[in-house]
Amino acid sequence: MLQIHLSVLEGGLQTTLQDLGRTTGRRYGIPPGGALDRAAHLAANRLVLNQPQAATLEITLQGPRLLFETSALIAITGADFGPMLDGRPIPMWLSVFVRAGQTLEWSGDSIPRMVEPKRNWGRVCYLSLHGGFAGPQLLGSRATYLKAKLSGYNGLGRVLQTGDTLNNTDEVLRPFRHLAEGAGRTFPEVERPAYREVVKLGLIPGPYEENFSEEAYHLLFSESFTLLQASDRMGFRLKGPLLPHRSPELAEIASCATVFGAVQVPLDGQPIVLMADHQVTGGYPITGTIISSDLPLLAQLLPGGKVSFHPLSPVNWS
Amino acid sequence: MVSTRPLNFDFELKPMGDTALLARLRLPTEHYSTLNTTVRQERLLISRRLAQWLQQIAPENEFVAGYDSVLIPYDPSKTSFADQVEWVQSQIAKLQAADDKGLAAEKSRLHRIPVVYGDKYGIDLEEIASLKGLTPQAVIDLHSCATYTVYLVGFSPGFAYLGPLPPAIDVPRRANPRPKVAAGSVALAAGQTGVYPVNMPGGWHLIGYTPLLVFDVESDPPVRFLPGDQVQFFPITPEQLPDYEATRHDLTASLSGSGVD
Repeated sequence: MLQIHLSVLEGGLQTTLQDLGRTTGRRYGIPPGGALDRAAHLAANRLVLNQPQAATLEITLQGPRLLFETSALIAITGADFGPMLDGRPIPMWLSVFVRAGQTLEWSGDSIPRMVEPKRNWGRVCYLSLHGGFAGPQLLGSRATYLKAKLSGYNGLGRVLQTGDTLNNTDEVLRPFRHLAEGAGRTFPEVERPAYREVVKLGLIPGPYEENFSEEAYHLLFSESFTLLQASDRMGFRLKGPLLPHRSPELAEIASCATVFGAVQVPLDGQPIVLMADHQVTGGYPITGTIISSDLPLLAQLLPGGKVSFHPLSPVNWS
Repeated sequence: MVSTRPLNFDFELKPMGDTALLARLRLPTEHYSTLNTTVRQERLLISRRLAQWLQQIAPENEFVAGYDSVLIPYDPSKTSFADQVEWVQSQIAKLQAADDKGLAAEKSRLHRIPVVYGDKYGIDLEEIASLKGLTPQAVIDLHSCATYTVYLVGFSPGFAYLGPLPPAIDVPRRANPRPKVAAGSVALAAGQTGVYPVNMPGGWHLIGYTPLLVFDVESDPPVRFLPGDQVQFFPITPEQLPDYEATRHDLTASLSGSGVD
């Protein structure tokens, strides 16, 4: 087995191991978790011929400094924070061969990108490593669950820190005789999510439509909402016109199990979108759920980003 | 607790996005909050029964019961919404056609959980006693004489909502949640009781402490309490705490018949 080693020189703002999450943890109170931007995670793995579930690094706003102790095949997808190898920019959405001794750094966080519209802009990017990042699995997943300090790096449930070391697994789709053979693969532009600061998301109404007034749905589908600072891997909070319940009592329900993308509306009438690390049950009525293929657009939004919704029928959609 | 009448229930299937259905029991009134405890218990039992039924048919998926609903995730790249609805409807029909033998035969596990009540182990015990016009010992007696059912596991990993709480010791949640409640704290509020699995913020009233872990990531499954389990608490003294240290990681050692108490 090919051994690849990396040393973490600086952890970055919030760098965690993520994958597609776990499908059997809700009964234990463990949310599905996994990458916020599934599309970028999957693309990163595909570029280096990994399994879809292979763990990548989810990098938030400010990237880590990583020293490659051995050569490696990597790809970076999602938001463009300006990745550089030994000071030279490397393209996103491309498999790249890294020589032993090279250091991955970033030219800047995503904030300046907001005033530089030519470049990509967003919240998270994904770094894949041929072989996938190693680590103990919990319920079939290495996804870091920060709130409960579960899984992820060495099973410690935390962000990467200076001094951590990373290596690969041998779970690959096709082994290379030499890693450099895998370099130069690019991910088609048309298949990449169309990230932007103003997004329109498909939403399937329900399962608690009757808890809301007609006006609530009129506002939901005609007005725009602003993403608030108080947004994280558990939930994204939106601010917009107040979405009224039919009565104050209907602002609470008997708790039901929930999914990534469900839009809860508590008594204050302001929507909360449940994200990857959402609590497994919720007691606020769910007005609708964002379709899974549009979640990457939301996941990449920064505070101040604008969201609007258009209604979809589950029948036509699937 | 166990229904002996024929099953009679009415689930409506609603989409939760393009990756799940929510089977919701139709409400006989406008608000769930107006239903009495017996009706709520029955709705929970039926929801859990549907989740179990589906779990047996499709063990590779996970079906999660809420208080009166069941989450039914599916993979939209493999199954259409219409096909999924049809499949669930047919399973609900089969469950309804089956008599309630399954429900009656639901053999629940019984846990016996040691608790040091009061003092520094349960700092709200005195307050609850005075609020309810009881002695602290009466609160302990009432809490440890009841048999609770695990309604849901949620809020955080391994946190089991246990009920019903005897009304004589029922109090609302604290006005101000504490920023940190220690793992193992035994608490009650709003008709329910439970054990904090890890150090975390909490708004329930703390009446005691158990040395047993209720969540342990090294175990499979990682939780002590599963939906439908029965739970009893019994008082121990602080001096007895070391007796339980050796087996605190064994999440099945609290099951009655396993010889812990």
